[in-house]
Amino acid sequence: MSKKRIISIIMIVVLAAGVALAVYGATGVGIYDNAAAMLGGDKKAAIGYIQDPSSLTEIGSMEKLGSDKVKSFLKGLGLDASAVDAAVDERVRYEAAVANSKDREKFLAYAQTVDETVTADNIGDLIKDHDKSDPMKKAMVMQELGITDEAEFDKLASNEKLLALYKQGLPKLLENGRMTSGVIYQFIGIVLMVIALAYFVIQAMDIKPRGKTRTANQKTAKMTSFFLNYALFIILGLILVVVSIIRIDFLSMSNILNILQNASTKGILALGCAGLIVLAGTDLSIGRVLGISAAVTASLVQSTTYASRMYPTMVQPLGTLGLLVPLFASIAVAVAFSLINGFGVAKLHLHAFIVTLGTQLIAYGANCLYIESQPSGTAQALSTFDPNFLNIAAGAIYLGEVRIPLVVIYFLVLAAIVWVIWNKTKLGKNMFAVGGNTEAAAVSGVNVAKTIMLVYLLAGVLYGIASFLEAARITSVGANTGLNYELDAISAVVVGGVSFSGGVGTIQGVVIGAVIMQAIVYALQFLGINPYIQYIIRGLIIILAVSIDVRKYIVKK
Amino acid sequence: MDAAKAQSEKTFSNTPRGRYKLYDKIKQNVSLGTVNAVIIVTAVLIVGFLIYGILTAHSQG
Repeated sequence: MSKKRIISIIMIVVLAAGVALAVYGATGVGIYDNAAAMLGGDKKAAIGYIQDPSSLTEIGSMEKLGSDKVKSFLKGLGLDASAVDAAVDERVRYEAAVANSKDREKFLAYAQTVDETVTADNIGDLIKDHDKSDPMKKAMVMQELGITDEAEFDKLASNEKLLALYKQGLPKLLENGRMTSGVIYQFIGIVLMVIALAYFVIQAMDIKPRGKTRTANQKTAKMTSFFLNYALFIILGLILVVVSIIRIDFLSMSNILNILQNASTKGILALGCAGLIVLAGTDLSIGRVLGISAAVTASLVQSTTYASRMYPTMVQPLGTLGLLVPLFASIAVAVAFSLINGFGVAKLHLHAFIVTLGTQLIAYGANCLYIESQPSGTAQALSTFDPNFLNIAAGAIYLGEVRIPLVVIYFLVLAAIVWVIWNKTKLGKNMFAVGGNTEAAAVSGVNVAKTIMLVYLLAGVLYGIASFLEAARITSVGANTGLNYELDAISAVVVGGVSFSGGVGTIQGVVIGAVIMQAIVYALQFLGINPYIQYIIRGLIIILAVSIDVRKYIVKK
Repeated sequence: MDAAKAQSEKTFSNTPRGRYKLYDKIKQNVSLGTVNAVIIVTAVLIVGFLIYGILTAHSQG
């Protein structure tokens, strides 16, 4: 192994260590320990609370931890002790009342006072089906607590007071943790990252002459070419560095996971769109197709206890198998639109830009009509989904101390599958052949039309899955769902190195592109930059990416 | 020979990319210097808007 290769491997290790230390530091190594100490050593609960403040609203957490631990946790944040006691005690009373409402005798006694038919046969189902938002259950709990004002009860049910107290104390908790040791770790991490990146930049620029001496002009030309070709990554890196310096908690684990979670559904769209761009095409209908597919999904997964649902006669509660129906429906809708696009490009020889622009409008119109066809006659967003469905997007698994959202795992699994299709199948090889040089592919015996149709089919399947997950993630689907998603997907693909000239691109590039673009969007929001300026910056990033792509094409040929 | 050439042209003209070689058209009509200028101006604009955005930002999060 050459000396240069050994140094490169060492620098990769240094870079990885730097990233890990920076993230570790930003997360604040002391934060979890501090919180866990306050919770009597319950580190998992502490991680859950810090990474997801809304978890404090879960009754299960309070029941599991016990009110004393929660009190000591909140008081440890320096919050007013009497306010903490009052809020926690009130919450405990509420939880007890909710638990009591499941008592058969109490339920029966109450049901007899209101207009509800209860028999020995249906009481079990009635108790089970009455959730917290159900008017009858609500009235029972209100009666038990002696509350008459519904607004006051809603505040209690949403755990507003306790959550407000927690959020008030959270910055102090984060600050304490960071001050202890996080800053030192982050500083060391950034120094290591800078050293490693500087090494790779010098290598890539090839500043040092090898073998023969370069003239000053050649060196300047080489450096100029390097900065122009890598301008996008330099700028994106600059934005992330600036944000990390201004907001030291930007690189925290919870933020990184948020970025990954938000990047996942758009990343799946990008995986589908990338194949079309490899074919030297594009897809402007992505966002609107996602809109209608998500609407179809949403209409099939509305909670059976929700009175204004789209299909009131659909009564069965959704289990795991029941969720396959909306998933396949979503995929079917997306595939139908995608195949129309594919037919237009492959058989009618229309430009993808025009066909997909047309289907974009058709999908939008169809989505509006579908949402308007609700029994209520209104165009309100489809919401109130089955908890099993919501868990698909909100669920997570724990890898040690790190909470990994399920959608991130779905994204990575789909990326792996698409990687195999692109790199290990005949379809993948044909796709690159058609994208790189259609004429050569055609005379080499590749069925161009079939290849194009199959790539559009694959894209449709991925859009359908993304729509299904997006509906679960955003929990409400309206006429404007999916607006501008095509821009996010296309920009992720282009930033990921897929060339609009066709025939060039990698799945790993698309995954990285999706994450980088989401990180930039998140960073700009994190800094509180005016949303209109954010749009301008994102638009300029796309123009920059395409310009660099064109430059590489001109220089290469 | 002519028949083979005609067949070949027909095949090529029926392939989508054969009709829309956008990048080749750009290459024919736009110089490298112009593309470089676009890259530089865009990069400067991004940095400019970023600085302006940060200076006028209302911090969140």
